[in-house]
Amino acid sequence: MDPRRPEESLALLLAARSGRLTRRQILSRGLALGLSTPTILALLAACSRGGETPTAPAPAATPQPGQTPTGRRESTNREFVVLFFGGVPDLDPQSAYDNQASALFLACYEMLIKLKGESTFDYEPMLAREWSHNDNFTEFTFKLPPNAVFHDGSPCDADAVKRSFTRFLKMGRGPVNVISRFVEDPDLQIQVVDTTTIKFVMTKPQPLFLAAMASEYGPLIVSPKAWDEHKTADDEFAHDWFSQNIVGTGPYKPVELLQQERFVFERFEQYHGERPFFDRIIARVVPEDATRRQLMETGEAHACAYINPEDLLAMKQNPNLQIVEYDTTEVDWIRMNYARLNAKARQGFCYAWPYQEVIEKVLRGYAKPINGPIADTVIGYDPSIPTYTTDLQKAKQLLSEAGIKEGDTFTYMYSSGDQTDAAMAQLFQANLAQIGIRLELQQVERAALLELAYGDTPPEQRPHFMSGGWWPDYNDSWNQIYPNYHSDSVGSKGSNAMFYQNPEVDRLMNQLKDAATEDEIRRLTGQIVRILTWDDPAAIFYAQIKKATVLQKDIRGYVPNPIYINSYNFWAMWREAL
Amino acid sequence: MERTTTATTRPVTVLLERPPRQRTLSSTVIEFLRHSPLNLLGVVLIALFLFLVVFGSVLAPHDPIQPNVALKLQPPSSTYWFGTDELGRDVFSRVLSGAKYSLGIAFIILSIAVVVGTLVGLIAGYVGGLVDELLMRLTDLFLAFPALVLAMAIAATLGRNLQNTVIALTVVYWPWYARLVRGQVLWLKEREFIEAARAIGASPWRIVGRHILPNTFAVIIVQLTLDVGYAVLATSGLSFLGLGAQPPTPEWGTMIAGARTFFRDAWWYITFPGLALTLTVLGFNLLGDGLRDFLDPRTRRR
Repeated sequence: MDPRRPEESLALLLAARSGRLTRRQILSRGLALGLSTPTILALLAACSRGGETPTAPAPAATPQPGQTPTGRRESTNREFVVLFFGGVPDLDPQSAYDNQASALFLACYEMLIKLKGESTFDYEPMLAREWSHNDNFTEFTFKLPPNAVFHDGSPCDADAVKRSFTRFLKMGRGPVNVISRFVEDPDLQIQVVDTTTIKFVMTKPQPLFLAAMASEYGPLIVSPKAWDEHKTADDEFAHDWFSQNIVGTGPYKPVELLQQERFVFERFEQYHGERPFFDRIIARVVPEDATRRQLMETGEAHACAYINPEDLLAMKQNPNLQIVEYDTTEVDWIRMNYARLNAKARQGFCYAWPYQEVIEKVLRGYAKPINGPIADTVIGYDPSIPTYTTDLQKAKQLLSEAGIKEGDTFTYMYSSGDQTDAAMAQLFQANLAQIGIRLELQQVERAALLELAYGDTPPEQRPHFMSGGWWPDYNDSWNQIYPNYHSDSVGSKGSNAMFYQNPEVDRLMNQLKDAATEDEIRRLTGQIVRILTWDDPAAIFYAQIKKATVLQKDIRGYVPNPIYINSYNFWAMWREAL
Repeated sequence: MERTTTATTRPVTVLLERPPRQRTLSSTVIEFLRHSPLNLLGVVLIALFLFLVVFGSVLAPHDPIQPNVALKLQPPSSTYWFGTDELGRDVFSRVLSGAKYSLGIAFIILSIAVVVGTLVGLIAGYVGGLVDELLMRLTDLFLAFPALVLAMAIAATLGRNLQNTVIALTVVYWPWYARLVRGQVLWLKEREFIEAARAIGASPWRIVGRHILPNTFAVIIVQLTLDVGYAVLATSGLSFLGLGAQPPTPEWGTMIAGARTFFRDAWWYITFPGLALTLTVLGFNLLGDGLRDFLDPRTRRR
């Protein structure tokens, strides 16, 4: 600790330990206090150790304005209805890599630990009661509750947890990279110490392992008993069965799973943690924007995270609703076809994007400008990298240098029914028309778009532009960039849908994967982002997204998290009697 | 004729009756318009929208394509009669310019369908035998699918644009005309005047071209007027589903699809293109029904 300003440093330490500050805030305030980077890293370590030995077996609701944590006036209505915009075809938590699926899973499945409140680097218990790690981040030990059982009645002990992780890693579907980055050999690296203690052994220091374990994508514990009962010769991981059934340890168990219609859960009486407030959770699939808004306004639904910006502004005026807005780690972008557009052309198109109009008039302020694929809430963000602004003359000059002539036509693909995407595309089209470039818009069904983006169609047969967006599974720049822009992730191997392949980016990303200090992460991320944005652009990075969840005014205890985007902390939410 | 698809027409039963020789075209038109006030309404509506097909783009007071987001979702005013859309474009200008897409495309579709269907129907009906069997089974193949579902499948397979909408809906519509014309040909070719023509040695080309084909026109025209409305609806329907016109084309179905997100706060945006579509379909249905009644001696007032 810096001896020159002990009071401020002590205050910072206390704030860090209490989880009131994010990792980024600690870093910036530490630097402002004149602390050295090692000192700040020690603070960050203190901050993360603050959650290692929690005393509370389960979290309580974080007090919100108007909420009384003790002696609260609870409503007798214990049903909670949330709205989704589409179905969830895959309910296997170790396979689905889908935002809506993960929102469901937080009701019925559990990770060992979860992110605490709004923080992206502090943790709190979920299935595990306690956890610890050694000084060089090579061994992580988790202590399980003795009374944890799955919905099928089988015990959830250390052996069950090991088997669940073994299934996840060996099955190798969807979000497996979240944990396989750290654990390549589950048989060797996951050790059962006793019935309630499990240890993960790394092959090198892995300071981000806890962050990955708190991801809502993948490291959720499934019942090994159900796995054994439903595996077949053709399906040794019983994926087909798990994709339609749920057997976890979470506070709610499934009652009805109609994957394109609705999901009904009831409170699980044998849940090992604190009894949640709601008896019943219903997730309804409502594809139409207008209908979701109507259901919220009539009070038939109680929460919705999928409301378009235009409706949000109107719903803000409704006294029966509360709108909880929060910064996220999501960056939205327009991927550019690396095989069909040279670097000069891609730079030119970056200058032609209507940045300000999109943020102000289409996203209606639920976004802010960003200088690359890394949001300012993600570790590794480099504010020194400049941000593009619209400059049609510069665009025209670069496109001309790239060999593009007036009248040339390019294609832009987006998901049909997405009015936000449609509006942005038309503004881009109008800008390009001003410099003599034709942009042909192609709407396709969301499923077809995903199939094209993540399938094996060669880049020459893909459009020039495709809209998209991403946020990391845990707060880490490598996790955000690797699946989208590493040459190992092209086509069906990841999400590099426009076949971006830059050897220098690959090399830096491989270094970033093993970076041990925050300085190194920041330096390498900055270099990568500079290439992805300016030197050899991969996409038009147009906005860091601000989200909003709409709730009925009597709902309390909801805490959004920049990583658990669009999800709910069902376990802590309740309804006040008004 | 069996026609069981969604939003389809009622069977057309027209007993051909040659108008009295002394009646001129203008007197027939006047008689038709007097026949029912709804006929007049239908003709007025159609005339209005046909005028817009030709002159809509010229009359549009603002650019229907160029966005101006600073003016987004403005309510109707003296400057923007129908308000503005989510990109600040004048809805009035877009509705006027959209007529040529929604209605113009329907005309193109039906023109092709009528030509193809009539040709197939004439050949099948007149030649008969194996040719008739083959052509009619082919027709049945297309009729076996619900019209809109078949059109959606074709449009989705070929790609989403207006050209493919034309192809998809033409494929859907021609079999109806083939069936209709074949039925007429079968009935006509047994008539005395055809027998007479054949007896004096007229060639099959002459019999078909001079005697049979002109006598199928009345039926085709009635069917056509009824179908235009449905073709406009189908074109807009495909565009609404994202399978037809693509933004920023001011096609009415595309506009309605874009507007549905905003209808709670910007009623004008969905109302005016919807109204244009409704009035067009209404106009053609009134005309079609009027023509059918007028040409059918069983319902025509003497």
